[in-house]
Amino acid sequence: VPQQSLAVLNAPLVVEAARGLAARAERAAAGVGDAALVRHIWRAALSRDPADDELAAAVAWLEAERAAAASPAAQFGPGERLAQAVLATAEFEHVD
Amino acid sequence: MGMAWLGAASLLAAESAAATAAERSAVPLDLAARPPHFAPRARAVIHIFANGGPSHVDTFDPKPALETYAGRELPTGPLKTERRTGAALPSPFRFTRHGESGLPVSDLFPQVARHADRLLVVRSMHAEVPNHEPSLMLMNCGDSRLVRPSTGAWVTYGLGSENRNLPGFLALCPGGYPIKATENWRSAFLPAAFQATYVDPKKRTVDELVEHLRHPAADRDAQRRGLDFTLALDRRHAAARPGEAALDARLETMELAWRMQSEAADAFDLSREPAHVLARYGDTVHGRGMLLARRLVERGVRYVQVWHGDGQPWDSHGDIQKNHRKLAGQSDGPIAALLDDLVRMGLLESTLVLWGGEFGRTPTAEMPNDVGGNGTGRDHNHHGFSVWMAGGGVKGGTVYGATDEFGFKAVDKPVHVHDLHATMLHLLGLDHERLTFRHAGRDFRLTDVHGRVITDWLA
Repeated sequence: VPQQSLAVLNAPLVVEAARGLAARAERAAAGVGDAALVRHIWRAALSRDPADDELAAAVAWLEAERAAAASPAAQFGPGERLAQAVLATAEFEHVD
Repeated sequence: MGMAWLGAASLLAAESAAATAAERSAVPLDLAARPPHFAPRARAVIHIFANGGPSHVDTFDPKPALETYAGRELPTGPLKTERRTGAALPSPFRFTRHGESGLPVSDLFPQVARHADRLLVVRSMHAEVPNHEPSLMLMNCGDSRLVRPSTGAWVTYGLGSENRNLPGFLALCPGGYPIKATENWRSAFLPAAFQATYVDPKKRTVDELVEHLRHPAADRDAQRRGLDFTLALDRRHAAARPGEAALDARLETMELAWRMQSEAADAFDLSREPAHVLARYGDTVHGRGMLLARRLVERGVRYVQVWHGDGQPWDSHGDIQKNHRKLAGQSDGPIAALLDDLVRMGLLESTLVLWGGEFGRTPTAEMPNDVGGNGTGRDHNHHGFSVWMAGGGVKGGTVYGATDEFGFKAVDKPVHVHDLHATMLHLLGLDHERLTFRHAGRDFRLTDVHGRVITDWLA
């Protein structure tokens, strides 16, 4: 039902979890690069490495989002939004 | 940005080129509006569910013969119901005739009675057993025992909805769930997109009625790009798991939730109504339920079910005079206000309003027992009961069918719940024999192998 999806999109619980996940991933990948950051998010959220196409898409998505970021002090930056996007997937939300 | 974005092509572009799950599927999976089988009379349904079983002999089916036998056994004896009943219990409420049609309505519903010439009262309804759970399932899902999709799910499966930014089917029940909870509005084996969205009209503000309508930090465009990335991952996930209908439903629901962020904030914000309108409905759970129903139908929502309350409020085993007076008092004004507005806005002719419970009540007094029976109330009665309809192409100011002299059993032109369903679908432009879904090796329909369209009801 749509309220479940609204919670995944907007609930403070999910947003805080994304912030925490992004912060840990960014610490772990500091100085290593976006591929490491993406791998950290995938491993933490989905307990697996990203497939090649997923990795490429996520890295490209991050680059594009950083370029598109209008305000430099974005409250909820590209890393955080990527973390939330992965936490919002069917793979994370549901038992396979 | 352009170059970096191209890097995502392998994942994203392939998906956008592919048809959506709904487009690929031979059966409808989403709420896109679909044409009916033939020209419809009604476009939307508001089902006001007086759950628990309102007494027909106290509301819309006067039985003066009960006075003759007051306190004595009926010559026919009581029919078998769930619990023992005894002597005839005349109605403590007074019936008067209303409108040009002279339709009899008791003094429990003086405001609804103003609309007498718009009401089609069916006095010859019957169900199958005198118990709440199976009768709720029959009234809502067309089968007393087996797991079947609800009427609202069948209708949205058949027709989609005219507003893609809101759910097509909503269940409003103040304070919590009725008996049988979400089973009353389930999709069962139909695609999950057709189950109802539950909202609690006990809540007042938009943010309480529909939580989490806004992201606390991300702006809308940025959030959309994040959602697109999620959906790309989801489509990849679903593509590796063909035939998982729940994954398709989730894609659809994520998009619906996205669109609701703007539309629901408007539809559920009752403070946007002028004060005099709010005053007519009343600032109560029942007033808010009816006003929400109007605002939803006004916006093209297909099917809204408004329940009286959680549990089974109309279940007056004892002290029917006090309990039915209270229940009718809560709902009479709001229902009449809804009808007033639908008329004023020109929506009644295309909106079928249905009022009723899962069954009626006995004309005889319930014997003392442990569920409140004390000789002043009535037991469940599936042998005969009343529902009324208004708008949506039904013939107003009309009484159809009759119960026996005492109101126990439908005897003249009996109407099974399957017939009610078949006729409701007909009003919506759907042939109940053609609205089918293949499941477990055969085609299923709302009316199973039963149901007949009652053409006498058509205006």
